[in-house]
Amino acid sequence: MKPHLVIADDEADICRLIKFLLRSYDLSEAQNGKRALELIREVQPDLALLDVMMPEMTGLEVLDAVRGNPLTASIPIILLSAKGQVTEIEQGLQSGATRYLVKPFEPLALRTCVAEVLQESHRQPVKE
Amino acid sequence: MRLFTREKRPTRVVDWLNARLSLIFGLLLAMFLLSVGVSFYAFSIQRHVDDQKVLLREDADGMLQAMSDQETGLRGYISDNNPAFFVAFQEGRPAYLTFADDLTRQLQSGPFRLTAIRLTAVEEVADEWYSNFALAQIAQMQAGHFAGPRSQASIFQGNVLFDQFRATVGKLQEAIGQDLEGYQNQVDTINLSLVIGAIVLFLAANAGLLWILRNFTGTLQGQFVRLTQTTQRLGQGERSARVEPLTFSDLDQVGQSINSMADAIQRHEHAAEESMRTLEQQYALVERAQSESRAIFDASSEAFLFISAGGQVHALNRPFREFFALTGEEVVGMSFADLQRQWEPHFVNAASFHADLEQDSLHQERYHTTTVIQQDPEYRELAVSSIPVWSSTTAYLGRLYVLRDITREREAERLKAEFYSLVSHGLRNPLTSIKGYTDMLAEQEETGPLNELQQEFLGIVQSNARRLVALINDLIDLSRLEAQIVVIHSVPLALHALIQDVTRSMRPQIEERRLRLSLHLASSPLLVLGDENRVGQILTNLLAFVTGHTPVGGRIVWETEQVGSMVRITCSSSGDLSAEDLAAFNRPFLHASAQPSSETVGSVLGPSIARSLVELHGGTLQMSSGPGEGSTLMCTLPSSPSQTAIGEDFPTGHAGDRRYPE
Repeated sequence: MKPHLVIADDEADICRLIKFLLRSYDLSEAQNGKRALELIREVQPDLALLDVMMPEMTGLEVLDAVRGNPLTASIPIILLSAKGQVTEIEQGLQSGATRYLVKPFEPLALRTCVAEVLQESHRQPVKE
Repeated sequence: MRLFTREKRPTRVVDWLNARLSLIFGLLLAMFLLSVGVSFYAFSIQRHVDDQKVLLREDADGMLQAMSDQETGLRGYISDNNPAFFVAFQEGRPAYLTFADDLTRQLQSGPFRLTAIRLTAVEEVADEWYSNFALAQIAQMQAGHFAGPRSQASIFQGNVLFDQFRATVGKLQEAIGQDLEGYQNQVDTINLSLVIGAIVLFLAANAGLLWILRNFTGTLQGQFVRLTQTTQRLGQGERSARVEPLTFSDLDQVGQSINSMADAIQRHEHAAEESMRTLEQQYALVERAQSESRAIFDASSEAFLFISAGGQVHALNRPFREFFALTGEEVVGMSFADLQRQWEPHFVNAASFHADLEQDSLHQERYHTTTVIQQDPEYRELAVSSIPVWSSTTAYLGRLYVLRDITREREAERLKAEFYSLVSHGLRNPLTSIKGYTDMLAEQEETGPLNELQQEFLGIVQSNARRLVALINDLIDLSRLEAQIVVIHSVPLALHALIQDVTRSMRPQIEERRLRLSLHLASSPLLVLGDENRVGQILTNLLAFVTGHTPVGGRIVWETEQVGSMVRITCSSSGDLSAEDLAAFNRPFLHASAQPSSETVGSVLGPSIARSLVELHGGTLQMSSGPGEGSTLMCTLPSSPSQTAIGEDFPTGHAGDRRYPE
């Protein structure tokens, strides 16, 4: 069974690029943070890929909500952001992001990163 | 009394008083002795009178008795011829004479003229009786004429004589009584005179005493009056008043002391007046200085509020009055707590602000800055600095609150943040798409094959996208450096490892330009104190800049050296820099290369960013070049005192922490 991923970005072009890059996985897509959170709760994905600056809810707020809910707390989350300062990256990781990717990213780097995270989460299944 | 004043010899009050008391005592003693003498005299004279009374009467009585004994004896002897009677007669005569002599002698000791006359008469009669009668009778008896009775005539003669004797004795006794009475009267008169004399003397002595005492107190009072009058005049402000020389040496000493005190007061007053004048001049200067300071205080654009050590509002300036719409100095003197209550409605976050202020009163040495939002009478964001104020003698004077209106600064910061957000979000997102899709197309694996021309053109798009990404990153870095919001987390770093990592990551560009790169590193490993990512960025920027400015086939050299407490890093190149390059480097921010070319791969803002970062670490960055001499970038960074490096595996970074993607 293919891993299920939730991807969220308000930029349709970037969303399309991510979908293309990760087309080997089952994908659910959201255009804003609120919808992304609903999807994550709904489908319980193997991984979520969230843009930080989104309307309705920012990626960090979604991350907080996901980590705050026991049902979704263990889902790995990769943050994608145009904000690339060290402090911003640290803030994202401290909030509970599994990885933090700065835009613009290398297409292959995104693929590698997703694959690594999925592998890690399979190797070390989080106890529920 | 006059004696003393006339002499003008200074005398002490005590001596003066002693002399008068001695005189008084002498007078009293004399009076006492006189009274005793007078009394004794009166007593003895009275006693003499009394003795005379008894003795005179006794003698008179004795004469009469002795005569009676003679007469009786004679009578018996004649009539009886009994010798026993004759003995009695014979013994009576000496007794009579003894008494008579005795009386005569007594009479000489007093005023007994009449008695003496009478006694003479008595003695004449008695002698006549004894000589002419008694002895004649006895002679007749002894001549034998005794037998016959004696003639009546002779008896009669004897009786007559004896009666005469009795009569004269009676008169004698009468005279004695009269004389004694007179004597007594005389004595009484004397005594009375003595008593009157004593009384008069006593009164005179008392009057004398009174006079002496009055004179004494009068003189003393006079002197005291002069003393007190002078001190009163001095007290009333008549500073020239002085005590004249006084009669008594000790009082005169007091007077002289008062005089010298008055002199001293006068001198001090002169000195005080002088100081007062100086003080007034200085006060005028101080007032002027104060009004000048006041003007300066008021001229400040920041609001000042000074709270005294006692917690009272001590001073405030014009901006403070303007901030809180105060018309004057009405809050000066008010307690700070009251002022806080009064200004509370002006602030949005008054409670937390006041809690912060409360800490000031608990910690005298505390410095702090806080931000408070004022909503009334005007919206302001105020930066409040709280500064304890100490005098030059380190006495705590109070606390100065400086309120700075940072509304505009905050607005500018917000604009800057918005710009930063716009750049990062608004530019990076489209670039993400451009870069992502061109990368996918260029790979061809998933999107299908491209012809050569398409590949070439796509390569150009990719290269330009890379330059745009680098430029955006640099712009963001610069704006953050300018806003001073870049924070450095300094740790000891192994410099040589960092240089090697940076060189390795730049290898594609170096090889592309066929440059020869050599490392002339210090023999011992060097540790610098810096932020791992930022030092990496500095080295990358330096190498990128040098690489871009070195002609193809040129040479680049890294050198490191420990210089005191700093580490010097030099990146030199065989390529020259133009005067424009050097001038641009010395301008802040933008490195505006006169002719930016595609050859200058890497950051065009690199050296400026590197310089700002180096300076943030406490180091320096210099660029030098001369025609035909190549160019040198020389950077110093603080050396780490520690011996072990942290993060030798640079570049660590997170998955996305790559600023200069190739």
